[in-house]
Order: sequence, then structure tokens, then C-alpha cells
Amino acid sequence: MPSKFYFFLLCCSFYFGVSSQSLTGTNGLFRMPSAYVNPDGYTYLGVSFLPKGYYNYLDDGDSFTGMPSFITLSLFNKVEFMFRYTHQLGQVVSPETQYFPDRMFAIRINLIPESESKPALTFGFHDISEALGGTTATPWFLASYIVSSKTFSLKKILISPTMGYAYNIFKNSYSPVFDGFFAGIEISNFISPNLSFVSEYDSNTFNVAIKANLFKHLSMSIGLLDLSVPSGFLVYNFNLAR
Amino acid sequence: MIRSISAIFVFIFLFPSHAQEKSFTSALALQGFENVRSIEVDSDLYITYENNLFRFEAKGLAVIFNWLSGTYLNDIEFIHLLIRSQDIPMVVVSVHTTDLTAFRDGFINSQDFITKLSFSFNVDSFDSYFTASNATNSSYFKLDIPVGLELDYALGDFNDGLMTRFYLNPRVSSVLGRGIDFEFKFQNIIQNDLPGRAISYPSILRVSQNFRFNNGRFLNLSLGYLPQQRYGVHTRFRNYLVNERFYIELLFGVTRFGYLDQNLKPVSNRNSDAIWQTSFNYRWNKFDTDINFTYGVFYSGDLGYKLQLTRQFNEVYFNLFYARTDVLSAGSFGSTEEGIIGFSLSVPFGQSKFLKPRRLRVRTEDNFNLLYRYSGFSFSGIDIMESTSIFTDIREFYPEVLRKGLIRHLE
Repeated sequence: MPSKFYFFLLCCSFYFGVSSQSLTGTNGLFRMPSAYVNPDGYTYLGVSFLPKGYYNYLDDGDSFTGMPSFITLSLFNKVEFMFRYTHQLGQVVSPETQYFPDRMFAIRINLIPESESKPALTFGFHDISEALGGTTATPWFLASYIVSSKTFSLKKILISPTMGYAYNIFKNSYSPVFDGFFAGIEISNFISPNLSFVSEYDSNTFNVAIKANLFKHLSMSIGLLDLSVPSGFLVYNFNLAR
Repeated sequence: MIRSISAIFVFIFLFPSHAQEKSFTSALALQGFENVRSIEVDSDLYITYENNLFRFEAKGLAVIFNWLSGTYLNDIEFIHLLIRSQDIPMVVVSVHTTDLTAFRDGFINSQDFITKLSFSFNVDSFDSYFTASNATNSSYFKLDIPVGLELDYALGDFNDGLMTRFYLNPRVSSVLGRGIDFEFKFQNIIQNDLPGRAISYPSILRVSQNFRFNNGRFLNLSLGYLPQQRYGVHTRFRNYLVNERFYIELLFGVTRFGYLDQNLKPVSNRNSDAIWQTSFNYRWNKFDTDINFTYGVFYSGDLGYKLQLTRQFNEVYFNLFYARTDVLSAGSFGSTEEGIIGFSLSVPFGQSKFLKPRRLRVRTEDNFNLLYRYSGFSFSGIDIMESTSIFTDIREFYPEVLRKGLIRHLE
């Protein structure tokens, strides 16, 4: 078993750069967001798995596993735009259930890019379309936050701490995805830069995860929400600007 | 060696310049470029052409530069390439032959070569060189038949989560003269589970006249059966200021509900509607992005405004919009909302290089388009659709788009 695990790690280290996406579909650690925004044109198509009891949608989050599918596009090196369609596995779309998959937008704006002396600083707004007066009244994945990240190099190890604060500035009654203080750390190294380890507190639970690039355009993450419940995501990426 | 030098000597001194011009036009026409003309004035070579061979304009330009770099250029210092659309001049690209030679001989790479190029969206002074010459391989009176895929869909019905309607639409278009074109499009349903009546029918039958006036002013007039089952006249006037960086646009049309049914029988009502819009557009060249504000009447006769941000990645267009008009949007669970947001995506579709344009050519459409409006049942802020015109691909002729496209396509 250990040899298989090390072989897996070796396979993971063929390509450079670890996926920067998270369970929510935007740039982040495992579930919590980071302040990094990818260069202009980077596009991510992905799916993730939200275990029962770890999200809320139509008050059915305890009964069905959530499967967000998302497309995320980086613009102008400063803005991240995401459209997400969140399904509930096993739930039936019908007049009886009154269930329909959730649609949401997210926009994140990087106000300060990371430099040698300054950390990156980003504002994030998830599922805020109702606040713009433009959509339906179902902001189940509402979040608005400010987050800061900085990467330090210690010999052959890269350490990226992130911390932020989420506050529902839109005063909506639904439970926000993030609420209050959150923080986490992502650790990778120069020898296998396609593999990183994440530990975080996402304002609700403590989580740990491994993130890896399997092929040039494919990346994945597997982790434990609340240090006990498996979750993960799979992302395909490409660059439209090339 | 002596033989080669002698050959070059003979070529330089005995090859007459008009023969050289003719050889350029013939070579480009032979490759499939249309409306080709060339003229030498002093030590400048002016070439004009139209690309209907490659889907992306920058790819056509890259092919021409690769060809020019391998061509012997007798006594020429500058080359000016004037690119056309429907025989209307669009953009000029100039290069010094020493840079072209340096690129050919490998002294500079393609990236450095592109920095030496000079682009201009202001073509007034260049087009006058070609007024007296006849075009080789004219694009007039050829039938082009692009076939494209289109999709209508609806999300949110509790009986069916995703309902779709696919179309396989052949289109016939022909350029009848400078800026004049004819278009016929048949909307052909190949799959349908959307509710409501839907028929396969001729959705467009129209003629258009496109003009380019001095100082970056464009005009399109279209008459006939237009998209969205409208019959009548559309005019669109656009005035570019500061090259392509800013434009003001006016749209005016008088149409009535009308279309040809599946038996080509006209169907219409007697009420004509006047539509008008005015737009202000800023082009952020660094990121090939249009920031657009439109105020006026939209498809449903609703009056209001629309803010749009369109990021162009070569042939891919990503558009975000927010509209607010005097028609309320229908939201979920019976709610009404005052605005609508959404996005659209246009991606290249099918062939990147077509067959050479001849009397009749069948090819794939240029793009596949996908529109997402958050409130699917809303009639607020729907764009007035127009058939193809001089404005359809105009962003491919913007200097910065050509420059970035060359980086991708120039070998």
C-alpha cells in the first residue's frame, strides 16, 4: 500500500503548477477561497462533491449529495468570473419535489496583486445576483468576503497562508457559505510542484486535502471536510488567451 | 554560385515592375484570396486582398506574410497590405522589406517581426491607390453555403430540467457588388423538446448594402425578412473615433412581424414598429475588450439600457451583460425583477480553413453561439438580431487583434 501511494505521488509530479480551484469552483484552497486570481484567459471546467450535511440548498442538503458543476474564467489578471450549476444527486426534478438545480454567478476582484512585500488582497461575491436586482430569489450559496494570501519560500518548500473574513453585506436570510473568520495554509515543494497539501478552517469546519495535477490540463483534489467526511473535485483547465 | 548571382542580376534589372505586380496578384489569387490588386508606387508595394479562405483574419494574414517572406521583392522598401471585407477596405498593415528579409533569414523571430509591423484602422489614403485597377479573383456573384449548428434551450421547468431545440441551418450568401450582399437562411429543426409551436422555415431572406465612408464611418442597410421574424428595414451607422478605441452607433429600423412559412408563404401583421438604439463603445485594446452601453428600444419594444462587457480571445467571445428596461423580468416562484443579467459565449465552429471560394462552395459556419439569460422567461433587454453584415466580424480587423493573432499563427 505505501508503495502504491508513493507511485501515485510520483505520477502527480509530472506537470508544473497545482490547480488553484476549490470545491466552490473559484480559486481557493479546499473549500475556502484564496486571494489569488489566475492570469487572463485561464478557464476551468469542473465538478465537485459536497457531502450531505455540508451544504444547504432548498433545505435538502442533509438528504442529498451536492454536485456543483462550474465554469470559471479569469479576466484582465484581476477578475474571476464563475457560473455554477449545483445538482443534488438522486433528487428528481418534478412538480412534486419542486426541486431544480441551483444556478449562481460569482465574481472576485483582486484589488492588490501579490508582490515581494505585499500579500494579494481580493474581494469575493458569490451568488449575489439577487442583490443586483437581476435574478431569482434563491441565494443559497451567498457569500461576500475579503481575503488575503501570500506565498513564502523556505528552501525547497512553498508555504501559502491565506486568511479572510466573510460578512453577508447583502443582509439576506439564507445561510451563507462562509460566515466570519476563515484561514488556511497550502504547502507544496519544488521537487514535486504538482502536489500540495492543504489545511484550513473555512469558518464552519476544519478541513484537510491533497491537491494534484494529473495531466497537463487536468487537476484534482481529495480531502476530508470536518476532518472526517470525504469530498473532492476534478477540474479541466485551458487558456483562451493563447 | 556565379550562375546564381547572374540569375539574381538578370531578375533585378530585367524584370519589369508591372510584371512583378501581376505576379503578386496572380500568386495570391491562386492561393484562394479574393479581390486581389497590387500596385507599385516608387519603392512602395501596395497589395489589397480579401480573405474568405481562412475563418480567422489573422491566420490569412500570417499565411500572406509567410508567402511574402519567401518571395523575391525587387527594389521594394515598404509593403502595405490592405485587407478587405465584401470588397470594402478594413485595415492596413505595413512592413519594411528589410524586416521581412530578416524574418525570412532567421535574424529575428516572429515575435520581433510582429513588433516591426505597423497597423492602421484608418485606410482612407491607401484605398485610393487601387481605384483604377481591376480585381483578380473577384468575390462577386459566388455562392457560399455555410452550414451551422444552433441551440435553443430552457432550464427550470419542474417537468423537464433541460429542454433543447437544435437546428442545423444552411445559409446561402453572395456578394453582388462592393458592399452589397444577399442572404438566405433556412432554419432547420433537427431535435426539439421545447414546448410551443416550432417549424422549419426560411428565417432570413434579405439584401444589404454596406458602406465605409471616410474617417472610420460605417453604414449598413438591410431590407427583407430579417431574424426574429421581423420584416422590414434595418439601418446601423457606426462612427469610429480614435481608430477602433471608441465608437458611437445608431440603429434605426422599421419592421413588422413577418416571415415566410415552410411553404414560402408570407405571414405578417399590419402593425409596423420603429426601433432605435444608440450605443457607446470603448475598446480596451490591452485585453481586446469592449465596454458597451446601449440605450433604446429592444426586441420586445421595451425601452431601457444594457451594459455589456465583451472579452475577445482571438475567435472566442465572452460577453457579460446587465439590462434594465421597462419590462419586468419574470423570476422563479412567481417573482418579478427589474433587471436581467446573463452571459453569452461565441466559439469557433468547424473548419479553420475552407475550400477555395469558387462559384459554389459549401463550408461550416464560423461560430457556435450560446446565450444564457438568468431569467429565462424574461422579455427584457433582448438584443435585436441582425443578419451578417460588415459589422459581424469587424473586430477581427482591429489592429491589436491582428497583432495578437499573428503571434499565434505566424511560423
